[in-house]
Amino acid sequence: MEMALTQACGQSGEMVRLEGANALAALFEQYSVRITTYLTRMVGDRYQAEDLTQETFLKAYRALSDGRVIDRPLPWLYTIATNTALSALRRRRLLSFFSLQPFYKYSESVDDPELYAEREPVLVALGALSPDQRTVLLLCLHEGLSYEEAGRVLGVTSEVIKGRVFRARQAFIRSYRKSIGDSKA
Amino acid sequence: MSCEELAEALSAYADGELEGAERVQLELHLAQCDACREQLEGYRQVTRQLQSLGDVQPTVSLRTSVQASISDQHRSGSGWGLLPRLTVGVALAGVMIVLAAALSRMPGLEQISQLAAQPTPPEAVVRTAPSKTPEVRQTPSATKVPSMVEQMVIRVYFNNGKLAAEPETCRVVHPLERVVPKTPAVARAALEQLFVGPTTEEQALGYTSPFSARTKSILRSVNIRDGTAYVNLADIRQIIPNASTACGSAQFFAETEATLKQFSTIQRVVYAIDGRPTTFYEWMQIGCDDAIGNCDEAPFRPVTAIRRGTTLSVEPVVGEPGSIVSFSGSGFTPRGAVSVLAVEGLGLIIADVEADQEGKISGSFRVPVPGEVAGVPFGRIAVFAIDEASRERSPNVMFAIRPRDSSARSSRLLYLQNADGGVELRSINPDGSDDRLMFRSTESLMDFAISPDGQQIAYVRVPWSTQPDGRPSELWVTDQDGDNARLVYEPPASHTVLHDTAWTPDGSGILVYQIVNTSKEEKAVQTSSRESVLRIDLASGAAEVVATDCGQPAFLPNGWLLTVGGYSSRLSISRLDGTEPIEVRPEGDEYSSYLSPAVSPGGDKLAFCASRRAENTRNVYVMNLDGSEVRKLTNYTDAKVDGATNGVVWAPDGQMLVYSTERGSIHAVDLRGQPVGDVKPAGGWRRVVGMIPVS
Repeated sequence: MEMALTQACGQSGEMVRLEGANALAALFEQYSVRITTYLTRMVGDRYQAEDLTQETFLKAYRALSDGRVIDRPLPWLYTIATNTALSALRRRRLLSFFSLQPFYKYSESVDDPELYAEREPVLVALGALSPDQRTVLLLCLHEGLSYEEAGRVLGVTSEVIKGRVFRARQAFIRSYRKSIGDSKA
Repeated sequence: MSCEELAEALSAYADGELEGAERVQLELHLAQCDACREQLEGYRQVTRQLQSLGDVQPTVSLRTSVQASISDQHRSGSGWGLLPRLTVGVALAGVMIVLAAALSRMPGLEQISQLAAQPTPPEAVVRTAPSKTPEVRQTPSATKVPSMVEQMVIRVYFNNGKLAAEPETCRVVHPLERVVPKTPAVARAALEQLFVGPTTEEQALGYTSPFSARTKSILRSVNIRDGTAYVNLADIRQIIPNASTACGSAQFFAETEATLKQFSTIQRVVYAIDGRPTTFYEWMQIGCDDAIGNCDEAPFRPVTAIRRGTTLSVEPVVGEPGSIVSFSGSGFTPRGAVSVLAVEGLGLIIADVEADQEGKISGSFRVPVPGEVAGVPFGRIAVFAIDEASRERSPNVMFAIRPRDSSARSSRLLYLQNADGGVELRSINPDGSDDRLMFRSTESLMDFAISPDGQQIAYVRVPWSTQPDGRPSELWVTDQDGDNARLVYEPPASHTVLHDTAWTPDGSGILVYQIVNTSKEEKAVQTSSRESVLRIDLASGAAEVVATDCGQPAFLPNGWLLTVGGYSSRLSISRLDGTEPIEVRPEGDEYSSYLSPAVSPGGDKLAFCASRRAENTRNVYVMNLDGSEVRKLTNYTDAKVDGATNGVVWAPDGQMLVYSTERGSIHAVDLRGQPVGDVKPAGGWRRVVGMIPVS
């Protein structure tokens, strides 16, 4: 049932051995959409996300050229991307008094105003979460990783993920209600 | 338990991350708790909102700058500074220079440039070379850049004369992998790959198949309904003439079925040629038989997109299982056939109607009973209509299935009593009034069970002649008045005893506990007896083992099975196929001699007769299904002095229990153990069978 696993877990079910430089092309080809999407939602700025995507793949490339053999590339890339994003967000927090832009400012194309209006409160709510909460919600609910896989990405047990997803979900619901001006908030 | 206590479990459940006992308990709780269902819906909403954000495609400039910085790495050997990312305006010139410099000597970059030129998946990620270049959609803005189509690996199965000798080579198949663009239509994708046949390289390795380049376009459609894949093929009779030979047909079936059954949603495959299953099965010299359900043409017709302008409304949008709900709709093909289906993915047809001359439909359907059809949940299901003429569908209507509320109805108790060496089945009001004979038999009958519709009764008959040793017993069914008695199952071996009957929730079969006793000689060497629960299909009489080493089967409202095992000392629940078994252990003490476990109508509580450690009798207990809040409802102290209970049943409203004792008395109690009333005084032998609602 490898196929089903592949679908349910966002491609991380496959056993792929990648080696060296040749692999980077394959890696980028297969996973750049996932990593770009994940990083864009993590940092809320698609330009910064592209920089971080580049950084992620270059870190992966360096590891591969050091001779590392990776047989589950997507979770591994998520791990690199998460660390890259969290340290970028820490840097940004240090500089936060310069940045008054809302979280989602550059994350969406504004070609479709209807779509934008629909997504805006979701993005605002996501932006209001702590980076750790955002990480776990994005990995499990948006990227579709199982708790076990998300645990592997973040280096914790699936039981820990279960608790984190729950708290992040609650926090998201609160901030979403706030962002649409719901009195229940 | 409150929703607050369950909140974390609900969140995990929303993500499909709850397993085993926790999941079963939560599902049972959800079936009757509106607040928790609402909370669950809120949690699922978060998932939908995040998924609705969609994907972000990397820009051309990202790709080129990744390429460029790798080439920079190569050149500098060890340097790790990131190149400043190029803006789109200057990217093309920059990349051409960098690539021109790098390509001549960098294998890694050659790979990337090849990727940029053609969309074949790179060798590094494919374990088996694909036989066919997958079709890749290209976005107009990125003609020189491979598009970002996600791919997936599926398996196709072929025969192989080098891996298996005759005659196995006709039946035994071996998987090969294919990489295809990711699609939800996995079954179609897999069949399309299969029908291309093995590649030349694979043929050289011994792979053979009835399928080849000539058959690559034979797939018309594949519909999956309720675990069955309906494969509609073009007329293949001239294209693969030898598929109707013994080895040819074995290969055909082995390859297609293995390929389809790699997907867990498919357990069975039915074929048709040009939409006609008869054509296919006659060609295969198998023939078409309504009994095995391979004659119906309807499921083969493909369903396409939502038909514009169709409407469907259901009134009310909430209902109990089995209740009748009306629907209406418009926009269908005038005078055309319309099927109304429930549950996406299951394709369960709940009504067939014909549209009027204005394309309007109306009618009613019976709300599916969860457990009756595997996969139908309590809670919300999607209902939609298919215009059979155009095979287009209506938008979904969400419908909520609520557990039955029987509190408004009165009920009757059914019980057995000894009479003149035989047995009587009687019914009585729970207050002891209106005691009526249903039927009497002079034979030894036992273990009665009432069918879900209350119309039929199953029981075990023990022929006199062979008692008491090595008695073969038989399973019978009669109408509730004792007429129309018929034998439905006779164990093949002597030394076999049947016990403990239970109807399947849909009334199509009966579960019975079978013990195959070992002979005296075998007992001398201490071979244990073999206990199993069989499911007897009423239509065909076929017997199938659903559980072993346990008995006293009962159903949970979600279709799961409750059994008693370990020499009556262990309660467990499992799926009907025996998977995901969970032991249910009453908290606080040890119990044995379990008898007559009965699940409450709401599915959350379990009543049973058992002996608690150090007690010499069997009392009635009730507890939550997770083993918590055990409550003792009767107070017998010693079977020899004041008796023992021998059976307990629930009132349909779930608020009262009625139990019988080995001395023949029958009593009603509430869930706190307070007496509600005495139904029958002591005398003779009696045992409660069940309670049925009376409208």
